[in-house]
Amino acid sequence: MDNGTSNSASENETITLKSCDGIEFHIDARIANRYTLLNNWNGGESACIPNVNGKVLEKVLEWCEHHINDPQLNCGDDDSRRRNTIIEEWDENFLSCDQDMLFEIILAANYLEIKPLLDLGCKTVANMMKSKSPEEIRSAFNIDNDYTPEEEEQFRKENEWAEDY
Amino acid sequence: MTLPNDIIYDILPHLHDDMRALYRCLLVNRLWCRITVPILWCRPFTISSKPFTNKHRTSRTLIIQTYVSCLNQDELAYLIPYRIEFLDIRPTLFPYEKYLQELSDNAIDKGVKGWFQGKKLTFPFVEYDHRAEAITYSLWRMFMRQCVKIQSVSIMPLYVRSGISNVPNFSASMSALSHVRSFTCRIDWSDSAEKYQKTIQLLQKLELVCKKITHMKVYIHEKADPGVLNAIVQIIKVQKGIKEVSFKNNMILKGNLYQFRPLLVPVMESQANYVTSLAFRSVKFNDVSIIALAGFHSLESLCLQKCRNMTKEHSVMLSAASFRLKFLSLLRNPWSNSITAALIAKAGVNLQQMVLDNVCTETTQAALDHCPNLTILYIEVSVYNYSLITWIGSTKIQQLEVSFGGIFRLSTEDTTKSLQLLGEHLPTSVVYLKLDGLYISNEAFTGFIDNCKAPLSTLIISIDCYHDFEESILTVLDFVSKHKTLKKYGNYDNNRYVQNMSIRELENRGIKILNTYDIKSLSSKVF
Repeated sequence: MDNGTSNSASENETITLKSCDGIEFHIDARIANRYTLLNNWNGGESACIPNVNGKVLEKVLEWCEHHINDPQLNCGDDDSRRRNTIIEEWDENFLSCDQDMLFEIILAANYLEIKPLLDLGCKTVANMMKSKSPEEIRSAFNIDNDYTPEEEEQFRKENEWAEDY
Repeated sequence: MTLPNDIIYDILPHLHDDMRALYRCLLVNRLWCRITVPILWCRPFTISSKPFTNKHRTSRTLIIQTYVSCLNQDELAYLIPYRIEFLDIRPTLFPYEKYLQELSDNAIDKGVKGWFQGKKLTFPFVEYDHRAEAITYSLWRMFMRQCVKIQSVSIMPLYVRSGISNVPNFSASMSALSHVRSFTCRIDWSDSAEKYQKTIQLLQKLELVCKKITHMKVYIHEKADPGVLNAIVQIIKVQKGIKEVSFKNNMILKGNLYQFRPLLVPVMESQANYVTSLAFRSVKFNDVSIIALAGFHSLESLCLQKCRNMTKEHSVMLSAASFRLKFLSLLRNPWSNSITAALIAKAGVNLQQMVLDNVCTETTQAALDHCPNLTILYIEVSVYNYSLITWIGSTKIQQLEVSFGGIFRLSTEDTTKSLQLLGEHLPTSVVYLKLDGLYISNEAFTGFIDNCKAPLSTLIISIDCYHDFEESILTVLDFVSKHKTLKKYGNYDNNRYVQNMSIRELENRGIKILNTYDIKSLSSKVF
């Protein structure tokens, strides 16, 4: 999560992060300064980030590095962030990966509380869903249909106005 | 691999303006339905960035159909004397009415009208009207009983069909409106003394309930009743921090221009420290109103359109004001160049965005001398104007929109000359260019492209499609090959040529083709 603090670390300072499968990353300390949780895992031989493997952590850190000079967002700006549907070209290319990797990045951003990356990932998935039918969405997300036929029919009827809005 | 439910809660709100996608999402399963329904039903009447079509009209009718199914026994019982048939009513699976965040009496009235037409009832007009009014009355009762999240209210209480003026009759608390942030009120004259009375009662109730308004718009269509205006003043006075205020007169009739004067001073007295954005259309200033205007210490955005009686003394008074403008819009104000120049000079170093139609030596010089940080410029011109082009050339703007128009159209010769000069003078800081109202031949366009050194990423123009469309796309392709910066291209007639091979070629090169509605929504113009 953006903590709103300024990047007090200097450009030359680095910190060390270790993924759950033991891969070490030496990153600009200003990145960790922006995202509190990354800072918590700085240094220490046994300190490693649980739940995030090296391949995914590398991608997450690549994104953080590219956006190191972005202005910090205010907390509680959820609505305005969601209304902004534009995805910058670099970000679009960055997330042009297979679906499993995209989901892994979203999970890592959520776990590490990197809100702008989480938003970006969610926006990308939302865009992917725009052209999908309910059946295709179920298949992409591995979801079962738990409606009864009567229930589904009534939902269709009550929300029919949106089908072609 | 799948995503946990809390992430699904984060993903689906990003589809808030795509009703079709939301509709498909709610059919996925019960969980997705629970997440999607509140998003789908928070602004069901709002159409974003699309033209209003018959499909939308039908959809609004279906929305009313579902809302009618949400009425409780009392609200349905109220309709019994009107003998309205409800053959297809059954309890809904969700309390859809509860999620409403944007309330518009006009949208509800039109939806109800459509619902009756959909039922193909053949009543005499008077009876039909009473039935529609009865339905609207019950719907308003339901919204006031159930809604807890209404943030935006847009009302026209003096209009014949508006149901909102009945609200005080059936609701003691109106607490459904206690979270309203945005309030838009359209007022007009009415033949009915009862309507005036009800409207004033409604506004008095709103004064008691709505105390968190941050965005306030008041439109006078023809004539405002002093009692109604006073009730609006009272609403303004009880707010704890209005950020945006907009007062617009629709018609310029004798006397109309004065109508907003009584509102300005109370707004200044109660909101001077909060208002950051002010917009006026068709307002006639005097010393008192200018002093009021100068008293908005936090003002960052000022729009004046068709406003009158700004004198040189007034502009001096405004120059001494403590506000610092980031946005200034001055359109069709019949006052002298020196006053416009003084307002631009007042805006000064903070000014980032300007909308202007009075382009002359005085105004451009004021911008050059005082506004070095201008990045977005919207200009309206009606005659060939060389000083405009040389001025643009000496700025560091990033976004430029020029609307050529009015009664006079530029001649073919002037268009060609203007475009060639614009290409020569366009600063290399410009990445967005929109030229509106010019019918450009391919020869003129080529003249522009050949001379343009700006790294444009968005280009919107109106090529003469009847004669030169194919060639113009080849010219754009040529530009893309040379500059490699263009990402978006729009032509006002693109919609008719979506299947064109050359357009496809542009898309294959990664250029997004903007349609007419994309082009409209990109406009930076205010009003």
